[in-house]
Amino acid sequence: MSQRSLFRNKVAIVGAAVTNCVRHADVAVGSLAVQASDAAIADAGLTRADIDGVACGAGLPSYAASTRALQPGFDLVNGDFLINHMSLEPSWSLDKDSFPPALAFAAQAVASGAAKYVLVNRTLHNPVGRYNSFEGLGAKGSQQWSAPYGFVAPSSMIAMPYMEYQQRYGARREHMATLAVQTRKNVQDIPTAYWHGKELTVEQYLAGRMISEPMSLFDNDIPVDGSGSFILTSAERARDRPHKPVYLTGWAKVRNPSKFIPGTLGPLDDFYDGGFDLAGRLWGDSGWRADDCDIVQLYDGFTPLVWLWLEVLGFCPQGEAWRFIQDGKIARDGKFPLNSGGGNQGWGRLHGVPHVLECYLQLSRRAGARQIERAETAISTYATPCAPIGEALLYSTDPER
Amino acid sequence: MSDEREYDRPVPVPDEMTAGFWEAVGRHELSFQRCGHCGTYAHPPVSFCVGCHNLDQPAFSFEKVSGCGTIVNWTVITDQMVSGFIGADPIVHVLVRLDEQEDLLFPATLIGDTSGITLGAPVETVIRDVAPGVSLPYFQLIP
Repeated sequence: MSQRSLFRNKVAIVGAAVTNCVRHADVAVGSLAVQASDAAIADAGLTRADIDGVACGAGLPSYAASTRALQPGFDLVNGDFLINHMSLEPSWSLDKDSFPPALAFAAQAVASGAAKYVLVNRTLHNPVGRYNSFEGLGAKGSQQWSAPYGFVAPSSMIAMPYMEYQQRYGARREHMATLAVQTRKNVQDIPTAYWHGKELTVEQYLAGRMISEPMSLFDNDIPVDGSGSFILTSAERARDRPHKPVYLTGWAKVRNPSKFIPGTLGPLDDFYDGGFDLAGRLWGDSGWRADDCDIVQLYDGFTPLVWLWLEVLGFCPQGEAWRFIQDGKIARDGKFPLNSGGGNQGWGRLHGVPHVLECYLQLSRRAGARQIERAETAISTYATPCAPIGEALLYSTDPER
Repeated sequence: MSDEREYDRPVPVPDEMTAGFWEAVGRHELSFQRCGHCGTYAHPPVSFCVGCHNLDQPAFSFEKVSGCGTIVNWTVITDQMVSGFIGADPIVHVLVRLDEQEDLLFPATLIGDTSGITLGAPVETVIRDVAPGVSLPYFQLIP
């Protein structure tokens, strides 16, 4: 089923704000979320009273063996938390596990008339202690297939198809260093990003502690406390807002995800099957193709995902992304500036916020010193091409596009 | 895996859907949920068959498989995050495609000599008693 029809260029992003991303904030993440949300509302030239829709990505963090109940405001931020603590009176609200899907559904709500101005928030919390560690002796549910083998971390899960990729196509960690180093470089003029002020060299990348071969420390996004908010409204209302609107042109979500084997992300070919299917619908519905996207922000919570998104979307042939990104091509001044906004590898674990933010800032021509001259169309992706939360979003400055 | 110290690693907690799998492992048999209508295996167990979509009269049993398969992919876990494994030697964790069905996949530790690991390498199942009343399936390379 086509997912585009409801909002193609009928809904726009008209404001955004992101907090500093730090390992552990001085305040609870609920405070960060309200700060980001008030700032985004002000950025759009609105007040809290204008907001009649709220959508949140509220999944994570994962705690060791679920010994602790998650509390809104401290561990996560959901729609009800923002509604209650900002005295909002929405006619529509939605919580999804993850943020870019929440944004896409919020666009559907605006297009259908369910809400006029929707606040979309994603807040991430970095709990004290080791992220994703498993404590205890009883492995229940999906963890009965993984924890007894010492296997729990998402990093280990992506390591398996990444190993398969390396073995099949001949890529090595040296080739991934290009991406990690460039992405880190891209946040050196973005003070709110976690890795601002800390460049990464190829040598440092290659010497990074191995987590699960071939995934090293610097192939994972660092968990942070941080929050980002966006304001969506209709194309008609967007024209009266202070900043240049950025229209949402299309989206596609992974469908019929392959059967999920707990503790793995499946075979590498599942990524290609799901990704090519998604890309076929994305380009088919929009009439665009990869070459039409000026700004490209591909999800990089784990570095290998960038290669896979490049290939399934058609920026390069299958099995060649590791070669495609070399020789200065993905630098900001290169032929194919990639993840110019720094992504998760630059900002920390903000789950797709940096990617959507950069598409918005570049197309609304608010990217400051890093403004890319030709910025009329954009694409962001989220998660993996084989998971049900995986998706791609298209953006345009031209509502006729 | 069966040393003197008390077993301090997580053990599987069977549930309604998975009890049949773990009971078979306790008998040192690798078995998977299989549809009585169309013969499709499923892992993890499903509530209705993904092969024939029989919603009205699901008929499942756990059926023993050969335990033989091939390696789809793997990782070497060097940074342990699970209680009881902290400080342990690196773990070679493999995803195995069982010979019985193209999409019948099972992940487990590869034990024994792992130096010959490659994509598609043939493996067999080894079931070990790791603690009183607890058995786990592992894989090892077939030379």
